[in-house]
Amino acid sequence: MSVGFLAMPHVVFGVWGLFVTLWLIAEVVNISEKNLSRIKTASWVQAVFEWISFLAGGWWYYTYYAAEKAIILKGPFPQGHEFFMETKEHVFLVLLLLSMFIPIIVYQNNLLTNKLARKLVIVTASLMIALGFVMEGSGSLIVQAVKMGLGGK
Amino acid sequence: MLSKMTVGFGLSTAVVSVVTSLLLIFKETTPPFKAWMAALTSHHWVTHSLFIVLSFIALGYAFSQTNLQEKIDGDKLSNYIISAVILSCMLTYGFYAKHL
Repeated sequence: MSVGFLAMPHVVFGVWGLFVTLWLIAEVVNISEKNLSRIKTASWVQAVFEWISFLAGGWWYYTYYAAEKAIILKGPFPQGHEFFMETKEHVFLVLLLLSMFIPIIVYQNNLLTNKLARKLVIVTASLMIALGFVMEGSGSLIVQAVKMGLGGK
Repeated sequence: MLSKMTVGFGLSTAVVSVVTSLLLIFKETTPPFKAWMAALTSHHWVTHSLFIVLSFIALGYAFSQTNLQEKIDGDKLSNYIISAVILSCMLTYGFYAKHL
């Protein structure tokens, strides 16, 4: 199995986490007694997905990244590691904090009656999605840097 | 009004978001400290991640024991979190911008 393939759970669960977060925003914007249980479900599912993405990515980074880092640094696009990977591995932690905070807001407040709590969910989830897109973009540039380092076009 | 735990962990999210970028800059500019972090768990990033997650939990519980929810409403907390995330990103991306 390709080493690159082993990084796929990191990418897939990261994207699924973002989709679930988008779903959460849609449910909160259209809140009623009927969708409260879905809001609660989405709030913890996105956190679980981001944690799986974090652990899968961390394991891959710890186990396999050193070899790819060497390829990137010798290639024509060393910024793939020096800027994009270095920032990604640290900014992801902020995304993880936001994802852990969301279920706390949802489970600790009555969202039906508390408008400010609903707004806080939407703000936190929106920040998470924005950072998530940056993570996905950085990830694709890192993969591109590896390809360029291997002589691919 | 938001619950105690919401305000506590919201503040923790804001504080720790900034702390992680400050820790990053400190470890990258202080090689012995980075080596010490690496020695603790075999990789500096693993130590960094553990420190951030444990700080989030510890600070969140500590802030939850206070009555800050009487002073901090949802709008204030949203502003703190937005500002902290922007500041954290500016510090992190700014620090590595020299490589671009």
